[in-house]
Amino acid sequence: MSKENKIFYALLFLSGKSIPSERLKDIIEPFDIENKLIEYVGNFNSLEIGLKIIRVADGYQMVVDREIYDECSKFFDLKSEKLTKSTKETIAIIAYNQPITKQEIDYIRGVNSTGTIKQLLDKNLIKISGRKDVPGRPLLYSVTNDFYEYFGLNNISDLPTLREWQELKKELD
Amino acid sequence: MDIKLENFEGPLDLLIYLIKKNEMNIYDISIVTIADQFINSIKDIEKLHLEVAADFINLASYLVYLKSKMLLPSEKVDTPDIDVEEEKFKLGQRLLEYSFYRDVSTYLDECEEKAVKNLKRCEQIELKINRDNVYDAYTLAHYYFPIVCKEKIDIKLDKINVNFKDVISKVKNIVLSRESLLYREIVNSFFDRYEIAASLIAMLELIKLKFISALQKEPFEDIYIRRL
Repeated sequence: MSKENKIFYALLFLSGKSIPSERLKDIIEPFDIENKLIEYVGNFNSLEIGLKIIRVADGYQMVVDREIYDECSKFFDLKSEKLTKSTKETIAIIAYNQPITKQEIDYIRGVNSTGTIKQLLDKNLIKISGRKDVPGRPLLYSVTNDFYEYFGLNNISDLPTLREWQELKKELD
Repeated sequence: MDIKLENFEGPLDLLIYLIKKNEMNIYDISIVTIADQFINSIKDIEKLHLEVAADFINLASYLVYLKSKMLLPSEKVDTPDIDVEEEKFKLGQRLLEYSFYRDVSTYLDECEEKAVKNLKRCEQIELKINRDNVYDAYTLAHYYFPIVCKEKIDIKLDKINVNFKDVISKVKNIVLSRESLLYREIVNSFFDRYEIAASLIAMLELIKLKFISALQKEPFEDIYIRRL
């Protein structure tokens, strides 16, 4: 196994979080990097050692094999607290329209979003990304890398577009 | 009609529910029917938080407003600020957009369901580097404040009483009176250190004006000056 291959696995182990492909260029020779990474990931995943490397948030992450999820979560008594419907609605609006102000979110939802925004900020799924250049200079919100990780998405294009959704609706009707 | 408001995410959610129930098109809703049903369903709104209730009442009043606009005879165009058809279209757009995000949030449910099973290390390992070199706040303050609080030293600049013009003309006289000479001879003809410094500038000026040329073999050697 090449040295950079070993370093790649080690960094993923140490990080826990997803490491963006961009950052991997610092330690892996950028030439043909995508193919090399696919090879490293493929080799690792075929070892079947209870860990898997997945592609998420435009990067790579080392996670526990889903096969043994139940046993592992039971051992550590892990409880996954899921987001409420309204926080998901809010974060969907932010993901599609970022950066966006609270006012704009409120208008789309028809509901005050102060609470849900606070929850999302606390969970580090969104961040304040600046202020809008209008009177009052309201805060702007954007999703974080943790958002993509949390939902197992690579980037925003993993979500359906409004047009795709409309087509789908038509087919269903 | 038994509707529990707590089960709805907000007024738009309720509105979409009512439209679906009445099998209407969101772009062509019967405002009269919907407004009545909407108000009917928020009768027991007192049970909700004031803030949440306000959102429902806000939409309810909007619907009632639209309804009144439609029912009133419109011969007199005294308030041209609102076009009911346009408002209906806008409302439809808003509902469409909202139901899109609502559906996306359902899609995110599925994503979450799957991704939650990606167990991972949740804290990064903190590698402690150079622990010995870490100082506590007091040690830092001990070194920091003496530097910051040092008394300021005033630097006074004395005005130098050197008449540049005199020096230049004196240098010029010496240089131009001779075919060639050494810079040391010029230096020797001045007593004041400032004048000597000025004489060097004077010489450079004369070189620039192509009155003389100067040659120095090595640093710190005497300078040989020749008239041009």
